[in-house]
Amino acid sequence: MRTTLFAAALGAAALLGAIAPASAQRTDPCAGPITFGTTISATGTNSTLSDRWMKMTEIFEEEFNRMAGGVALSGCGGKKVPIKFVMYDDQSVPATAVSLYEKMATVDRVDLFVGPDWSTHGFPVSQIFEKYKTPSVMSNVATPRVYEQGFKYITGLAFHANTWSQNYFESLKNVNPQPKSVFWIVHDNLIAKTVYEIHKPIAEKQGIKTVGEEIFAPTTRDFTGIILKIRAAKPDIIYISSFDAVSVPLVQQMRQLRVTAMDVHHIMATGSLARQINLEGVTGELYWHEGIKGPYSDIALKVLERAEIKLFDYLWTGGRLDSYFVMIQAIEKVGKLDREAIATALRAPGAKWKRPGGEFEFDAGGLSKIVAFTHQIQNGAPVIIAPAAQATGTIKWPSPTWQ
Amino acid sequence: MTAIIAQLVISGLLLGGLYALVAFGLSLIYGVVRILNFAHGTLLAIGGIAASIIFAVYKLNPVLIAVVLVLVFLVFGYLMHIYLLDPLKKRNPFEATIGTVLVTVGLLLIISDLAAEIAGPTPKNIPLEFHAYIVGEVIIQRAELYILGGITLFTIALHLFLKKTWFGRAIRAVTQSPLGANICGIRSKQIHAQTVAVGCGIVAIAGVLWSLKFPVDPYGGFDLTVRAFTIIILGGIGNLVGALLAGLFLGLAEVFTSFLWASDWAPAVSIVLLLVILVVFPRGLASVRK
Amino acid sequence: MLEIRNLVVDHGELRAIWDVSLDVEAGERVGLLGANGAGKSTTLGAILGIYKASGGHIRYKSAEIANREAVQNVEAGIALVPEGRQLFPEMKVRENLEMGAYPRSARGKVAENLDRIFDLFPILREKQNQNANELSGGQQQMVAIGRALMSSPQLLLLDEPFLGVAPVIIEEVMAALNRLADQGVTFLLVEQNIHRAMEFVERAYVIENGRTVLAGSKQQLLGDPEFSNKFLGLD
Ligand SMILES: Nc1ncnc2c1ncn2[C@@H]1O[C@H](COP(=O)(O)OP(=O)(O)O)[C@@H](O)[C@H]1O
Ligand SMILES: [Mg+2]
Repeated sequence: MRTTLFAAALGAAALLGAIAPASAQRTDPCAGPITFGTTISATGTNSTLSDRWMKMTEIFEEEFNRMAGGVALSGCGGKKVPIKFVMYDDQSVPATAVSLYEKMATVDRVDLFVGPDWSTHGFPVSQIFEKYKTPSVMSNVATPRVYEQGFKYITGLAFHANTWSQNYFESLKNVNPQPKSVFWIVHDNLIAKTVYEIHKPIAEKQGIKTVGEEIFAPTTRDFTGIILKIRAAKPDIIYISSFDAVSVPLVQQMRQLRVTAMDVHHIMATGSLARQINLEGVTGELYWHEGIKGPYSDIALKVLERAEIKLFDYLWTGGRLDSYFVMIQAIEKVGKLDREAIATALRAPGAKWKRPGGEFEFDAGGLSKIVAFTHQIQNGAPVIIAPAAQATGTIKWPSPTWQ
Repeated sequence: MTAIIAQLVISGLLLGGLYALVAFGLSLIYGVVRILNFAHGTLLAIGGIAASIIFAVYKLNPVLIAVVLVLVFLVFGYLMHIYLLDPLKKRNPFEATIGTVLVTVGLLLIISDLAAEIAGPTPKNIPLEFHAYIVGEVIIQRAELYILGGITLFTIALHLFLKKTWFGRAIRAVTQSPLGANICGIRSKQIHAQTVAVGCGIVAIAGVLWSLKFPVDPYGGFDLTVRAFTIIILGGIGNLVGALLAGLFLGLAEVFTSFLWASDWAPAVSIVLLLVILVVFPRGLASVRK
Repeated sequence: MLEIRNLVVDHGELRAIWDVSLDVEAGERVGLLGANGAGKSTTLGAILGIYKASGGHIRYKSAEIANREAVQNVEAGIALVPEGRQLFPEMKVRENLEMGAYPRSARGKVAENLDRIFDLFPILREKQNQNANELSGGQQQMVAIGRALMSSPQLLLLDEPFLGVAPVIIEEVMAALNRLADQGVTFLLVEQNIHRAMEFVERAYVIENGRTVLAGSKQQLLGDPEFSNKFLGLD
């Protein structure tokens, strides 16, 4: 019943889309506001990551228009044009997101898109961008396959599985004593396995030998078997490629069974994980951190403060905010509200983009080449240890809590 | 090597003992009411979450938490039977069977969502930070000893309850012959509701013990229900001793599989075991004892 | 002691008893005879209260008991030894017997009644710690009778107690029943084997398709050509 209704709604929306002129752009862009259409997973399974983002986006609209004064367009006599969000809850359901983007293209007639989040959503929704020839800067869509469809109107902010732990392994070159071996513990999940597969040869190339690798199912409760294997293998580094929630018992039991290593690395060492288990001394990756200042960081920090969001708790918030900043930069580069030109500018080879975490480029498919910051939990809070240029502290080596 | 085996055995017994506790309640309920409660493992998760929150907020002794939760779950189980399960009996057998699946699965979804809404979806447990005993290379947490002690005491208590009390015997009587029980003057409707209540009370205790060692989240109980089904089939319906043995066996099998083979195979053990035993011992492990 | 008038009992959609009337006086041994499916077991079940009456009356010691719960009737002194025994197979013999004393009023006399039953069936004393399903058919029947006796009944309803029981044991059981009758227990016996029934009862009713069709003393019935036609030629 629900599916048929849903299909009917989709069909109707598609029909509307076909009738509506493909580029119904306003005649006087200077009158503003510029509308950004987006969906957010405010409810449903992903909402632990994003339940505060609707509020955050409202605050962003207000603060950006106030602090930056709006978007600079040419031919508006120096007057900046404010932005405005049209926003819906996709309930963490990809199909819902698809129909909402259809609706925003045909009914709300937004100027440009930002979002959605998550690879599961980005994959189907990217078709809508192509269909309506409306560019979007997506956020937290990290699966490279999404960008390999040869699409023109997509770009996305996320850190690349390819470079996820690049800074970490880079920083290992300068520690003393040098780690010689690594044990991989991998959550049976696409992104976790990809990160592990990519970094295993990277580690080996710099002389860190794999002495064990173990994939575990998400429902695993007892990790004694794995931990005893680790104890037997005596690795210098234990690399945990896993989502945060499922690895709670793993780290807990590693502590209980007195696992020792020079370092334990967790690719999602988040605030929620730190609240449940002793993460002290663990290293991990962050997208951005309040301590790192850069372009737009004043606006971003103000927004985060008002929305009561800590980046350590809401790990992927940086990607969301960056998608707004990048779309704004793209409009300003073009100087006018021209979707074709904006899409082309976004994908211009070698173009540099600013975000609070620094400068970056998009790869050929439109995925940001952002390298994560490496951090270590020290006194209960993350301290950025790499890259050196943005470090807020230095790594404690060997990790004091795993001795 | 001995140290490794000892460590694995400790973990396997703990895990298996907890599995058995989950199976106890499910087994009692199925034995008496003949309803497979798909929400059973989820109830354990809710119990564990509630215990974790009570512990975090009031720093209450886990034994007291268990007492409080048992009372709440008894009432919940009783009402669940009266308002959700019992009305299905008025239907014809086919509708009743489908109905119980729908009702208990629906309940599972609702309480998961509700718990996630109220308590948040992240996993929780009771972080008792006791010191550990180290014997050679074997490490035992004091909390784990408490859990093992709790499982043992509770199993004995449940055993005595079923053997020695009129109520416990009535539960066994209804399981073995509903008509015979009726003739002895046992009120079946009352015993049904009370048994569902007791089954839920047991799962509350299991939830508290569970959360002393493993984190639980609102969506994480269903695989426990599946394991409990396996245990009941291995151990025999309504058979406490059988369930205990089957649970321990399953826990040890999972832990050893993870060490000797690969961790991603451990969760599949219960299914493989189930198939093997159904083929080799079609009447359950309990029949082997004899 | 027991007075049934125009009893009607339904099993769901199906009417099993249309019109049954019978009387049992205190201390009597009465038989309830009839072909398979006639409604004998349903009648006994209705008396005990495990089936609801849709019409008519059941009076026990002058009180209306149709539609009382079984537990109330057991407490009032009625007990049933059901067809097929309905023991608890995985419970010990002793536990099976003790379940017969489940109603509160019977719980005080468990030890006394157990002794009485073990005297009646000495083999059960020996086997009291074995599971019921490990016993022979005859021994199981003894357990079923013993269980019924645990509530100190005044009216004992027996439903085909000799079915599947070896002839030697039948003698033993019969002897036990006679002893009970001598102690003042009233009997309503359902039995397919007319000769055996007639050995024990003083009076009997015959039901057919849920209706009482014949009644009389042992002598009257054995002399009645209709009764002979119905039963005696058959076995
Ligand atoms: N529990 C029951 N549910 C439905 N029908 C029943 C049940 N018990 C007996 N019947 C039906 O009621 C009728 C009388 O059965 P019963 O009292 O067992 O006869 P008898 O004991 O004389 O053989 C039969 O037609 C039988 O099929
Ligand atoms: Mg019969």
